Amino acid sequence: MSRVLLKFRMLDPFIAPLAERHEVVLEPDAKVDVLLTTGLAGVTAAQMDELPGLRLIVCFGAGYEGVDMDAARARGLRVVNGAGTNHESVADMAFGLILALGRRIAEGDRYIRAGLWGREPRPGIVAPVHGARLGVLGLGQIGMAVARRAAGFDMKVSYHNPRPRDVPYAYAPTPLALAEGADILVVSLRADAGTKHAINENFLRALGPKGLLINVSRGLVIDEDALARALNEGWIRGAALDVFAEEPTHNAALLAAPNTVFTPHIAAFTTAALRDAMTQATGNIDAFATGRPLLTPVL
Amino acid sequence: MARVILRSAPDDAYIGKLKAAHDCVHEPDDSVRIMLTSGVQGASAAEMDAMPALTLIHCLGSGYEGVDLAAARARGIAVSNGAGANAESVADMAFGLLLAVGRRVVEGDRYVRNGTWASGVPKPKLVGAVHGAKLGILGLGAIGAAVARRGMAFGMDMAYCNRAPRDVPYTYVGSPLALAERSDFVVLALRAGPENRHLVGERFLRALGPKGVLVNISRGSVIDEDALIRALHEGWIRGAGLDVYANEPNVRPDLVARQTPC
Repeated sequence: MSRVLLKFRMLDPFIAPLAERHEVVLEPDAKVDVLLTTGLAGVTAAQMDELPGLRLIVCFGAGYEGVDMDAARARGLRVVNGAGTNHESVADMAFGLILALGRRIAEGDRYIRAGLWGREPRPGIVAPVHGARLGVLGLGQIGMAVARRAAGFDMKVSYHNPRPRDVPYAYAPTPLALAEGADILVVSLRADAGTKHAINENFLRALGPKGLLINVSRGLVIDEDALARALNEGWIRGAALDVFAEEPTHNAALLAAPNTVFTPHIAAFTTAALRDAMTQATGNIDAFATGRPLLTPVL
Repeated sequence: MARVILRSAPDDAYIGKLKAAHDCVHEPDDSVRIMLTSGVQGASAAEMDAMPALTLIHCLGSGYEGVDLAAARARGIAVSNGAGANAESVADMAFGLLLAVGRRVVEGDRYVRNGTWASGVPKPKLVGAVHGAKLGILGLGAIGAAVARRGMAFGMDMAYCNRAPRDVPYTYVGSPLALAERSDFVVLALRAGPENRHLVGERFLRALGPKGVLVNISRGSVIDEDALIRALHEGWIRGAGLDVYANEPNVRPDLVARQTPC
């Protein structure tokens, strides 16, 4: 049995399986040996030092960008993530954003609710989503789940990763080449120092005036100033974002930009994804408590 | 070259070829031979009588519910539709609505855009997943089949209801009510017509149940909007994604009244 410090709010039904076998606490103390956090909330070196008994950091969700890995390594801590528990839900959301933006669903909803139908022309005609060229930037589990869904829409899928994978999709050797060849670009990169502002002015200009940008990874991969300009000046056709540089976002220029859909970081916010993530987190903590190999170690 | 009356008026960009090859007019006369209309716009017996040379009525789109078929038959006028031409685009929209409601995309957009997120109000409620959910398609024609292909790509458990089973790898369900009972999401892809009027009423909506989401991309007449409004306000179903209404463009205010706080 471990003593688990919970660093984020979680609904009781999802905590129950963990609380059955371990002690769950909400305040730091010397006996805490496991910290349950998220990639966004992370954990700093100073926070690690407040927990002298700490030995395992568990990140809920696939990201762990907020964990100070050097500090964890120096203290002999192990780190696990929630790989493979939320990719299907996130891929669903990616497609929800593609269609909400590409087919003007959020805009159409505002138009009807404002009572404009019959008084002003309907939102303009758009290119279809089926048959479009889909670019996936970052073909991990989420990217693969997005590509599988694209088959149902007869889309031509290409991707960019640092190295090609053995998949039936076209490989683009650079992010810019991917953007140039895509009508719809889904960003499903891992967030880290190497991917910060990967979506910058050059990338957006390569995507071009018919291109749609979708982000379901992390806000920091996008240069939001460049994106706001791209939308206002028509370098791209539109953007749909579930994640932002700051959350909740206060980026007024971005929020005011045309041809956008925004959701509040809810891509993994389904009962299935939370249940699976908690099952896996509990499995990792069980393994740790009984000296068995961790399920999804990243350190 | 034939004289064509344009009753449904798409953008000029799309009728350039037609105009180049035929004599296109907007008012009836004795020499109009072809009418280009839509299922919603239709063609009445009186209109047919105003064009004695009329030999063909073509509906853009797959519906032709507004065409008086008996009157056309009596006058020897052929009627054709745009079967299959828009199935893929309509199926895209069906999935867009399914995901917009199922994953609260539109609600989330309002919540971010109007500053509710920034003000610290908790996020929209947790929802069931779309992948792996049970999808029911009412009317497995060209559009329904295109929706089903998308459902398969989302790993959904597919069922459908038609007058007769088709040779497809989806579960056949014999009645609309049984389809509603088994489904988390129902997509209405029926042909509009008197036989389907108000097919979705109180019994259907109660069978769909409080976790169920209804999507309609066929025609508004298929839904009893009084029943749907009660279903939404009283929680008989979880939500609805609609592209069509009983009386377009006059969508009922009590239908678009918000069910959610933001």
